[in-house]
Amino acid sequence: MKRLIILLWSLALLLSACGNAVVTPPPATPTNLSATVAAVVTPNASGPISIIDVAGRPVTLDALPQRIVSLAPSNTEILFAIGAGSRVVGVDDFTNYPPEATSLPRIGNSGNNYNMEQIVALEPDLVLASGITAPEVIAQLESLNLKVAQVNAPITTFDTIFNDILLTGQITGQTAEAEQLVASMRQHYDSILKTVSQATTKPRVYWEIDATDITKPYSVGPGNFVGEQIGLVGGFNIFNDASTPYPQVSLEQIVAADPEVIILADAAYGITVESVMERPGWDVISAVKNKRIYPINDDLVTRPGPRIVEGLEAVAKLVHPELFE
Amino acid sequence: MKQADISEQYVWRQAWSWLWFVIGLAIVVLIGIFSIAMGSVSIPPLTTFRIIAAQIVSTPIVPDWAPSTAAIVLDIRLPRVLLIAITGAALASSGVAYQGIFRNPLADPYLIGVAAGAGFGAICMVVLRMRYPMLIGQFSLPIGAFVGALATVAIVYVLGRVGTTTPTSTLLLAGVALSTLATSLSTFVLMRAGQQLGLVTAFLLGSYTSTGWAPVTITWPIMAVGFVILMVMARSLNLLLFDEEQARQLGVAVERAKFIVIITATLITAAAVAFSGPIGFVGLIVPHSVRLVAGGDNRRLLPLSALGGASFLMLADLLSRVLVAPEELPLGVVTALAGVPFFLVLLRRAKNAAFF
Repeated sequence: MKRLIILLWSLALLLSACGNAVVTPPPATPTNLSATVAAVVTPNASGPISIIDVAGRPVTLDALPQRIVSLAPSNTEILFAIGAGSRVVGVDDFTNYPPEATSLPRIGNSGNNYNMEQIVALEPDLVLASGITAPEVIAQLESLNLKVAQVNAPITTFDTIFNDILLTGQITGQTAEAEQLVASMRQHYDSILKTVSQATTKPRVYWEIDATDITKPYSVGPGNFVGEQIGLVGGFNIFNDASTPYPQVSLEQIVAADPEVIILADAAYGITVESVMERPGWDVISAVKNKRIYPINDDLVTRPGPRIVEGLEAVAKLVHPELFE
Repeated sequence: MKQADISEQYVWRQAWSWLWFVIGLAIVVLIGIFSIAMGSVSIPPLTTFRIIAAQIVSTPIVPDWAPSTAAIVLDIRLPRVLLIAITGAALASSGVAYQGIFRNPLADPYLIGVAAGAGFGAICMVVLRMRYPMLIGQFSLPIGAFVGALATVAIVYVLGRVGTTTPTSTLLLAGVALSTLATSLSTFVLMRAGQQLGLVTAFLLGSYTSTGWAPVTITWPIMAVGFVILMVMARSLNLLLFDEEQARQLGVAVERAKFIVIITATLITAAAVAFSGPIGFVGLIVPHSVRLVAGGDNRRLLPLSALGGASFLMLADLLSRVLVAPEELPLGVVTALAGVPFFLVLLRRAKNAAFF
């Protein structure tokens, strides 16, 4: 009997890891799937909470946190999505979603420069750091006797995002809501992958991050979460063989690669479809000739938060519109 | 000139020096008080004093303030103001030293590569610890900057050696060349690094200041020892203002004096830069401003510049914190914006006097 159970668990693991699961794994499995497992001690909502955050640091709270400060927009979105939004007392400068969060007091975040005075004045009982928060910042906060938990993995994958959400749920006492959210995100994720598995083409995609110099724009390379998403939805990132995650590429390389789809992740900074069509030398590119240039909300695809699967769907629809009629 | 006149002038000068010193001290204390009392979170000044007094006096004062307020004053503002004061004093004193050694009014503490080396060291440390997480710690960035600064100046000193002497001209050229190299390498590494750019950029702009008491307890002994050494060398610095040949004939061991002064000035600058990033203009402008009011004698100039540097940087830090609260302006930007007009005004008033 024991062997049968182990066999079934392994099967579920294997199927979900492949990503094309026809059978959606049972909701309880997400905690076992990624390498960075968070140890949970409390099941009940009023006792002490003890977790190990993604950096391996043990964090213990005497009671449910009632005054939470978020150091990154992804943490803010997760907190609000799992129902802990009413307990958030301070957010960073880049938080812009959900709308209720934008009216909360700001505590900085330009270049890892947080306003320590503001954070201390808000008297938080929990500060949630992200994967890119500098260790100096965390050390400073702890030297001011604040509890800091890093609930966001430095290297992002879909599994780490699901883990982050569950971890945040555990440390705020919203475990059930977090598990529900992750389950529905997984379901959505699996259905997207199922849909794109029917694709017959693999369009070449050029993802633009910054084009201040239009002859030397920045794109995404290997080891980049966005680049992985392009691959997941059945597209081919033309800079998949670059040497860094954020390569600065040349116009010649773009023209030589001849992408069929251009996705503008810098749409929020004033780049429009028309401005791309007008760029000198770009008119020989297939994507420009067929007008397959699409702006995208960068927050959806780069923020390791609850909207990440929406972002994946947005990318999928741009790369394979024919599958999402 | 009669003997009596000269002695009279000398005595008068001495008296004025002490007066300037007292004035300088008073200014530092005043600005320090303002800096601690003001910040992005508004705390009534009286509460601030009482919080600090509660730490000093033995009679217990009943706290009528929240513990978070005490934390803001004692753990954030007070050490920060002290660190800024120490940094300003260090930069200004080493500015005086460099201007004396190089006999050049445009010399500043970053002339032979301290800032560029510190920046490069900091960037390398940030990149290294992405690969070797065991290096992560509260002091990894300052250590990287400190080592980078010292290594750069050491290389410059070795490169600048001609036979048994180190002429200031070759030192200067080697310094400029190595600074440029360090800056270019920094840019290259920054480009390839990707993440953690924000921290490094903040460091280079001078808007990253370490908080807490640890930086203060580390830098103040370095600053104190360095300052004492510079004061001991002050008379030699005065004599070096004539060219080196004259100084040698007047009894100064020129190579040894240069070596000691450059090492000391570099050490205190590197320590200051390691914890606050390279902040410009203090080392250049403060010595000149003090010279315009108190004359060029290094024995007077060094302590007064230290006080002036501390006041100036504390004032700049105060402005950076309150002008766009709750955000902060980078300190390097504020020192330039505040310092340059002030210096131009001083310069206009002393146009006809030969001050250097």
